Amino acid sequence: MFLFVVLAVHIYFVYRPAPDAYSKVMARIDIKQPITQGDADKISAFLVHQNGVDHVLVNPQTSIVVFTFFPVKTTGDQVVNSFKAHFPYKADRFMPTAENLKQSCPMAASSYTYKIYKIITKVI
Amino acid sequence: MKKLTFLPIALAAFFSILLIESCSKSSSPTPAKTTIGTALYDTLGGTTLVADPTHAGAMIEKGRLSIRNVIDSTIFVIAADSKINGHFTVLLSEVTKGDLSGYTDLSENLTTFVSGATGAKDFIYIGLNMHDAHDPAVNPRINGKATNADFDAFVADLVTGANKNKVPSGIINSLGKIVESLRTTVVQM
Repeated sequence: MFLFVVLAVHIYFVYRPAPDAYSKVMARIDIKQPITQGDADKISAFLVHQNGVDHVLVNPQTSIVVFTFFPVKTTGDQVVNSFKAHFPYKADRFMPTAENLKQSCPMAASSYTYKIYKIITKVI
Repeated sequence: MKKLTFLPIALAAFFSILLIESCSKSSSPTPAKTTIGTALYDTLGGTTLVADPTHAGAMIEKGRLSIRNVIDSTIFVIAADSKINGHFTVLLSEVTKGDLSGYTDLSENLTTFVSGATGAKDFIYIGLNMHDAHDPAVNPRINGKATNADFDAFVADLVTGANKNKVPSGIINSLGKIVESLRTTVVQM
C-alpha cells in the first residue's frame, strides 16, 4: 500500500496539469461607467487582436468585459494594461479573493478523486 | 505505447487513492452519473469523431464538441452577467502547476455533465449530484441557496450561448427541458 501511495504521488507530480499551449485563463474588466453597443464593439475589436487573447465578450448592459487568454503567451494584467492605455475608461481588472473562490460554482470539481481521475485519463 | 506501459501501475495507484479517500471523513463528491435523455446527444453529432478545432491533432466526439461550444459561449455570457456571475468567480482563477484554470475546469465539468445528461456514454461526470451541489449544508462551496431568479438568469444565459452557436430552436427547446427538469433540484428554497 505504501509503495502504491508513493507511486501515486510520483505519477501526480509528473502528470499534474501545467500551463501548455492549449491552457486558457479567463479574466474580467469592470468598466466603471456606462458604455454603448458601439463602445462594446470597439473594445472587442481591440482586445481580440492583442497577443495571446483567445476570445472576448463585452456586455454593454453591465459594462463588463470578459476575455480568455493563453497564459503561455501573455498575462491578464498585460492585456488589461493595454486596454487601459488604449481607452479612456475608468476600469479595473476584477480579481476574486480566495474567499470568493472558495464559495464559487460547485461544478468545478476540486476533490482529490477528480484530480487523480484527470491525471489517469491523461496518462492513458 | 510508452504510455500504455504505465497503465496497470496507474490503475493500481488510482484505486489505491480511491480506497484511501473513501475511508477519509473529508471525502466529498459522491460520483454521480445523470442521464435524462438518450437521443439528444446523437442529434448533436453523437460519437462521430471530428478534429478538435482548439487542439491541433486531437479528435473529439461531434456531440461533445457541439455541447462544449454552447457551454463555452454560455460561460462567457454568465461571466459578464452581473445577476449571477457572483456564483461563478471560480472562472477567474488562474492556471497553476497542479490545477487547470477555473475556466478550463468549469468548461470541462459542465460539458461532461451535459454530455451525460443528453445521453453520451463515453464520459463520466464525477462531481456532486445536483441536489448536494446546491445545498450549502452539504457543499460549503456554494454561497447560499440558488433562487428561482438565479435559475431563470442561468437558463436565459444558456439560451443566449446556444443562439451564439446557431443551435436550432428545436434542440434548444430539448436542452431547455433537460435544464428545466433540474430546477426543483437546484432551487431548494
